[in-house]
Amino acid sequence: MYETAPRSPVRTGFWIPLLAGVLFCLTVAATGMGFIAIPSENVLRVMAHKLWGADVSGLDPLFINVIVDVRLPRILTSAAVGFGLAVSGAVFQGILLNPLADPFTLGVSSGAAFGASLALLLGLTFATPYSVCLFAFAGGLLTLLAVMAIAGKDASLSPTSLILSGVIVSAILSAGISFIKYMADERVSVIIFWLMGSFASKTWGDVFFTVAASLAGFAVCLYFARDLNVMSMGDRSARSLGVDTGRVRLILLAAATLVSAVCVSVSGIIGFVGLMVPHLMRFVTGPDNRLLIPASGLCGAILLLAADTLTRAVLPQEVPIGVLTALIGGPVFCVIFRRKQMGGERG
Amino acid sequence: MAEAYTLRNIHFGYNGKTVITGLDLNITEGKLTAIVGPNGSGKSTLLDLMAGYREPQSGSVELLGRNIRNYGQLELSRTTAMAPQEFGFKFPFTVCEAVLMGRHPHVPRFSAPSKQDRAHADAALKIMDLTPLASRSVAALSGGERQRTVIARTLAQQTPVILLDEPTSSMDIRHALVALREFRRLAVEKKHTVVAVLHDLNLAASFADEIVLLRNGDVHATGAVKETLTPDNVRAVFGVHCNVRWDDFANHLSVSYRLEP
Repeated sequence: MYETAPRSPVRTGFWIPLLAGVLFCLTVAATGMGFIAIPSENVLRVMAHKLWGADVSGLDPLFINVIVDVRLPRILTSAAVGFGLAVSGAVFQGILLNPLADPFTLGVSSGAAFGASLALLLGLTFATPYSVCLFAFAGGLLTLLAVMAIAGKDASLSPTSLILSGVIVSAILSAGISFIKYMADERVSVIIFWLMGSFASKTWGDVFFTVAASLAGFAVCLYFARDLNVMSMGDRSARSLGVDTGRVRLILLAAATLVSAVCVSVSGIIGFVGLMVPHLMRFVTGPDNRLLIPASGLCGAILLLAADTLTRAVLPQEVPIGVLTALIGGPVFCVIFRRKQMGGERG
Repeated sequence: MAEAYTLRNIHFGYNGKTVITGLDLNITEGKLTAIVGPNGSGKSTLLDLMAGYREPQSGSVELLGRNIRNYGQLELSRTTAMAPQEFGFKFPFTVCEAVLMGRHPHVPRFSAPSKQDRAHADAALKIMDLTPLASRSVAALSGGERQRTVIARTLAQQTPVILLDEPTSSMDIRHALVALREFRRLAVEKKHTVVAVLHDLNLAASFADEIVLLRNGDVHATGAVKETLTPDNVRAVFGVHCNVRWDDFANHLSVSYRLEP
């Protein structure tokens, strides 16, 4: 009947395979691009070789090296980080009932940045190459715990108190970061460079770390996507409809924060993806989180991969990825937002 | 008649402020009950306690003969539906999708709503006159239309107990009457229990079989409309003087008030 099916599943459902297709094509194309151009056909052959041992005789072994050891780790990490940031952005917007929230609203990024800055200031990088990453992750996590401890006076973690305590904790951490930068003297450039985000010299370890975290977080978020829909009607309504709002909010908050903390710890701070992508996707798939979350993830992966490929293979010099996403994303977002405002409200 | 709710010696307060003090109350199954009282008398808190949204600090709330604590969240949401005053419509779900959310407790997690679920949602849309707005975004609705959407969602939930917090406060007269007529039909035909917090005594008189007059977190008077809606009770609870008479045209008691005696 028309009344109960205004958004046809065909119109909204086809976005997922379409985005997945675009992501795959882009991955292949991006892998071929770079200082040594490799035809897509050869990229596919190497991928097939690695996946199920297809025959690659007659292919330059250098190609295999470049693809497998240099390009794919970076490309897959950037896609996984884009996926993770966009998924957690969509979830944060849903939990905080605020279409302008993003993975960093609760200060996760500031916490991670503080941790990383501290590791860089103390020169811990010699101990293990992952020390910055670990410190960033711990910083993000501790920040979330602090925010929840401040906001958690009412047990159900109301969005308003979460946002407020997020702002407070972020402000304190920002001051901390400034202080570290001031203390760092000549090491300050390393800190600034890390803060701007980069996918340069990523390893397969990074790939597995980010892919595992993004997919695990995604699975949790998708499981609770329907409850998140109901929660957008308000707490009392959701409770009346059988959703344990406090529990769902806590689980989703933890999942989304873990994903964004992993992303930040691997790649530095990359803004705008988590804010813009879910916003964009809401125009095409509608607000239903069961579609919005996967669509956002795929679109985030596409966007960040495209941006990273642009800075890696197209631009004459690498621009920090965080700067690039904000430079491109900001104006695009403005145009879309203005158009939407002019066009009035649309379902 | 069986009791839908039995509340015994309820105490409740928050932020160090006592809201409900030693309240005892029975609500009859299959009746329409209106809870009225001045601001801050604990009406909405009482409704929250009955919805299981808050737990009393002492005392017990029994719903259909069982302590409300022993209900699982899902079972509770299949037994009681609450139409709150909040309009949390931040994201552009369509009216139809919002009403279909009333079926949430009945639809398994990874299933699409069944034909029956859709039929219930369609029926609720039709009752609240929302069919023409079905594909409109809830974010673009007026206050009254939002309220009708919330009521339609509550109807679609198909529960034997319905709790309403000022259900018609933003609606136009016609839709308010339509909503009240539907609740009366549910009570008469299906023996559903409907409890509404109301401000307007005339609305309460037209809507309810029984009235609960709240004052300072306790029941001042409760019973049939005729017995509770008296000038003495109204003066004691609201501090205003009133005249109560039978209105033949509207077919219910009608109350008019003034401040001075």
